[in-house]
Amino acid sequence: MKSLNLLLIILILTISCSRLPGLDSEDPSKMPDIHKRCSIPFLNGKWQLIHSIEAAMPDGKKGFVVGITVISPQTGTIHCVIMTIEGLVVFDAQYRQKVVINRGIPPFDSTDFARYLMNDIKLIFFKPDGQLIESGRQNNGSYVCRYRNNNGTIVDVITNKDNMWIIRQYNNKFCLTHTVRAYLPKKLSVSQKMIPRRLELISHGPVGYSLVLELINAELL
Amino acid sequence: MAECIKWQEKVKNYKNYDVLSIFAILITSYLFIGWANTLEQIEKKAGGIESMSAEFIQEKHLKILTEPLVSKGVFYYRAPKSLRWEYMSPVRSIFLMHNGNIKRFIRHNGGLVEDSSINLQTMQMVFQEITMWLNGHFDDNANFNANLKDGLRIVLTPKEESLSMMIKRIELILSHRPGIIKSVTIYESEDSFTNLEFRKVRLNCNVRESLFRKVK
Repeated sequence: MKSLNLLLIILILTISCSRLPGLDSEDPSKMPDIHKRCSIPFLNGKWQLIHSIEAAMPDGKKGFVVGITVISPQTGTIHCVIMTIEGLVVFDAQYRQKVVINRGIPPFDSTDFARYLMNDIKLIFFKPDGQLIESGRQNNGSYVCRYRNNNGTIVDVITNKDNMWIIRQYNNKFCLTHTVRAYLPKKLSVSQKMIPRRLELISHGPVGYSLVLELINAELL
Repeated sequence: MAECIKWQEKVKNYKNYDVLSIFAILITSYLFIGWANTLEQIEKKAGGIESMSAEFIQEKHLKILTEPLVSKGVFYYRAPKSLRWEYMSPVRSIFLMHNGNIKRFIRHNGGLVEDSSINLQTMQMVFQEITMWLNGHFDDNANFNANLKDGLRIVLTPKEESLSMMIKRIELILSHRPGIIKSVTIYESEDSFTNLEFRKVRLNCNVRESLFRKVK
């Protein structure tokens, strides 16, 4: 009976997983423009970003914190501080090829939490590590650049004509694991150029979670 | 109902200084300093406070920040343990403590939603400390040792090592006005601290009980 239940769960998870979609081919002369568009979501230079963050957990609980992130895609470094709305720092960690936790108050003290968080930050702000394997268009007309990382995961960078973008990550079984949606400011200032005013990250699956990041301040360092 | 004292308005009255008013200020300052000679005196003076409200400016200093993160808000207190701590910016949030119930609400999608996160326990401890300070209770504190320094500064250091991992010390600067705390600085480390400056302090005003029960 137990093995039947397990089989059913595996079957449900397999069926419910969103699969990697195919892409419509595009006129080769448009490829340089598509590739240029695909670089829009990713920052150049060193930035300090301050967000209010709403985290929705698998049990339905919602928590709110403030996140301060200094990222430098060129050097591949991240410094991230999470604090309560009142200013109590609960997490402080840096990433430079490996994660170093400077401060972690339970439950923010685990290396797994730090690793997942850094992976989420990299997914949102860093250009994918892997090879560009395909480019084209989706049914709705959005442009897509498809990257495959060394570990077999696939990342689709999808840009719409209004410069809103979506990043989708698939595991090596081509199942959707993460979706990032970015919304740009209505009025762009120089300092906020291409820094989304709102970011939504959804981690799919049975123990999925979601994060909504509202921009408080962005500063090019 | 006790008379409502708006301290900010009293300060404004000292705009046009003359020799007599300066002398008066010096004398009254001297008298007010006298309220904070010992922790027992502070507790006794603060014991007459039934309610309080004030605006505050909070500056979060961190090594990672190029400039401090500034938050603004207002708080309401009613003896013995009711507190409404409300941030207006940059993220509107309301912390309510009343009759042993603690809740926090955050602005979300145009409304206020309740925060059910686990970090509320730590903040509960911090806000319970604040209500004790407003009561003038410093030296019978279960979590901190209190030391009165040079008359107007109280330094609180954690009793337990587990707490000192989170908060190294807290410094309270007392106002010359009896019963009023001018500023609070919470040190998590030497380069990570939160400074709160209070202004427009009102003592024994009509602070409605509903403020501690309802968010609007």
